[in-house]
Amino acid sequence: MDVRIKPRPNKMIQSFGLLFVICNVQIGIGVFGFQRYIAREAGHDAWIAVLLAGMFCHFSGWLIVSVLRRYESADLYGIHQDLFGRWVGGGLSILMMLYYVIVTVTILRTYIEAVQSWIFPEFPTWLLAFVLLFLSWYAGISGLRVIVGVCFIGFFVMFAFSTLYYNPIQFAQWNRLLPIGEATPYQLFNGAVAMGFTLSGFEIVSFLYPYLNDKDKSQKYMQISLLLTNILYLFVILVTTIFFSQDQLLRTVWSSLNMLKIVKYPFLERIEVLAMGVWMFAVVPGIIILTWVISRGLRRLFNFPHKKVLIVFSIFIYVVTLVFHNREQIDMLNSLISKAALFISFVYPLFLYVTVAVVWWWRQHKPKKGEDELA
Amino acid sequence: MTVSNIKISDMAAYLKVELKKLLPNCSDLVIHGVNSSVAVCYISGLIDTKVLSSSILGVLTMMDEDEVNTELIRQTITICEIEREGNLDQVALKLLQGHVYIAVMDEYEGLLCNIAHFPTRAIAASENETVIFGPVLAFNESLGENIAVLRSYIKSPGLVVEPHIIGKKMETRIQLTYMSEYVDEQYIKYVKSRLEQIKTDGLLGNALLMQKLQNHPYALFPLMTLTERPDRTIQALMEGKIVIFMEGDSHVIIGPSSFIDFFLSVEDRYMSWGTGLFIRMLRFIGLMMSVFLTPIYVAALTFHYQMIPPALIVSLIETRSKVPFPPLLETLMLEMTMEFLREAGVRLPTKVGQTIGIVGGIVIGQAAVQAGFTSNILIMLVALAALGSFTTPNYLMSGSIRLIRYPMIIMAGLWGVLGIVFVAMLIFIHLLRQTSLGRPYLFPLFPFRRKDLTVDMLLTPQSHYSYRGSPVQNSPNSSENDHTSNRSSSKDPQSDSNQ
Repeated sequence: MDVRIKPRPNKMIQSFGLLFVICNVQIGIGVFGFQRYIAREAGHDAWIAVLLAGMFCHFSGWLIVSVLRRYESADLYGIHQDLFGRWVGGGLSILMMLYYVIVTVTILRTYIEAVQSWIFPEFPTWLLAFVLLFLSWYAGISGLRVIVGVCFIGFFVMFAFSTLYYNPIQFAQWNRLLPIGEATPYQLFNGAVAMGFTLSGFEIVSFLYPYLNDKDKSQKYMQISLLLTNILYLFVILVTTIFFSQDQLLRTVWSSLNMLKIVKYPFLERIEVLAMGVWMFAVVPGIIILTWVISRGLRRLFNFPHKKVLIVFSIFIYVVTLVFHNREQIDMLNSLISKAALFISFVYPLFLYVTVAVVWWWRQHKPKKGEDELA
Repeated sequence: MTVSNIKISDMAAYLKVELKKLLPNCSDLVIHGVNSSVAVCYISGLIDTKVLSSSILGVLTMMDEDEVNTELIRQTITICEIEREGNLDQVALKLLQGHVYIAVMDEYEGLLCNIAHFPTRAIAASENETVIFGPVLAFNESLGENIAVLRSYIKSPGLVVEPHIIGKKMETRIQLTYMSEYVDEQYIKYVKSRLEQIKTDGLLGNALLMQKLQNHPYALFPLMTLTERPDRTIQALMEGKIVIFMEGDSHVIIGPSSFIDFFLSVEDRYMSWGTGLFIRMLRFIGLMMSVFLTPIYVAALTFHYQMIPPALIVSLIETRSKVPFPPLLETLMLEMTMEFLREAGVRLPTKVGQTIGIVGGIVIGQAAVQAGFTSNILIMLVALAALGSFTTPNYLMSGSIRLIRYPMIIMAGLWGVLGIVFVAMLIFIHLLRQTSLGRPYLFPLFPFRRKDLTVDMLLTPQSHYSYRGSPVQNSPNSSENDHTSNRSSSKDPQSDSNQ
């Protein structure tokens, strides 16, 4: 396996496309119910915790892109091999892929659960999982450009729906935000940690990087997309805090959907049913990208053909998805994966950055040492 | 084979024997001996008889039988397109293309004069693509006349007309036309490589050629535009697109086309930009209505009663109270009726067709409601959806839109809003996968190009008069400046105009 990849020009995408991809990976089904977990830690100061987590995000994103820039045109699989050798690096890559499998399963299960609890209680899990995976397979076999296109529409759906939160603001009680800064730094930090899983996923850029056409703009668009995500989450958490009382918020599983209930038009009400369905546009891109990353990894490590792997892998994820049965298991899955996500999105980039810095410094000095010995 | 070596007394008798060997079943072959040493042959019906009698026969009969030779004839005949030909196989082929062959006794070569006059109809107003403003004329079936119409609009020598032949038996002539300074080289390469790959006995009509040119055999939507209007063609040429004319077809192919091109009419530009923009928006709403209106009705009434406000649901339920069918069946029945009416209207002669549409619509609609088969509101929605689909200016596209509505209705009946979103997403991914001559089908929207979008779609006052919407000639490093595009081969229209 080569560390660096040189994709054909017609397979490449513009850095501008990162905007849609990163936002779609970060904002998925999580946006419907993340508020509860943060409010549990940080109370009515949850928005500060979200802000804090957002700043961590920007820092982590900067670290990732900096590492990638050093390698010019390598993905994380290549970097692993370069730093840790074939076996350790390959092992790390496989762990990474396993993590993404579980993330995909979590997204699928959470969306299916949301659909079952809001629109169709009787809707069979296997059917909906099949539909979602079929869509992701259909887009996945068509290449990165189509994937970015699907993310593009998902991006618009998400930001269009977020304008609906204008309605809850009309019923806001602004004094619920007061007093500002009541939570202790420790509580805020816990809140930010709870936000970690919701914000994770942006490390996906380390797999897309070789496919970017104008790599010098990658840092810019990375930061812009992180900023957009953070603004959206901040907006949603602020609206939630001023709309719900703290007691109510802690008892509401899908608080973002609950707020949509009050939106009314002369021809349409209960928008949350519509939102739940249309949110498929925002959920499927996430699944598409993750399955693409996994099948890319199998291609890189074992040289399996991409299209065949994709279908085999979709079937694998499908089977794993059906293993989970009830709310407890999904909750367990969520809490398990949130810890891993925290590590992979925020701790691991720092570790990687330091390792790359050390290894590269050492490599630059080694030949000099060799010359000394020769002399 | 040659004529000269054999000594025979009558040229016409000789040609009769020899040409009958080559064209044995051609009963319309005429061989006419002017005198014993000069004969004229042609295929009746393919040539202009007036020219034949005045310019050829008139001259030949005046000549002295003994002094006649081809050089003399060549100099005296007043026809511009004359060539010498000795090979009778070639002569036979040319006769089939409307040439007249003049053979002279004792000479190796005869003369081929082109006075072809294929049966055509006159250039007339466009019937299928009607407009209120603008030039009304449409192309006809004659390749030469169509190119002449084109040249009457564009006098620039930059207009390239490239002949190609398609089909081993039919040998249909087609002309590839484009503006050399505006067109993107890769589209030409694409078309030419596609044309070379076509192996067939013959293609009748540009619609078939269009299907051969696109590389997605399962595409749901037309990937290139067919039009018979010169103004639309000229606009496409000026925007750097490729136009293919075919002999015997009044429709031309325009490519590359993107999805939104099918919803734009040239007429929009003839109005003030505000009106044009309004009409384009109207068409977009029409498209949305025709695709989503009836599926939403089905989904809402089957699964999501809670989404309809109380005031509205009362009247909805009231009209549906007598209907014995589930909403899915009710809608499918009415939509199918609509399709029958439309298809019947197309097949019948124009005058009868209109009446059947109105009578059928009113009678069936009224009777269906009174018999308790459908609700009033559904009839209204189906009619609105049908109207919406009529606003699409392109017939091929409106056909595709009619088609995608049915899976959507059925899925809405099965899975409610999830079904609608599923089919919508499937269609969207399908659209993303398509390319037209190698260019993404959703072009100005994705890959997102703001400039092209404003020119093609929005008609701002600035862009109203300029045709240069699409990306033009490119240099390899130009794409670096162009961050919104995914195409490495695109260029900013403004910077191009400096060249």
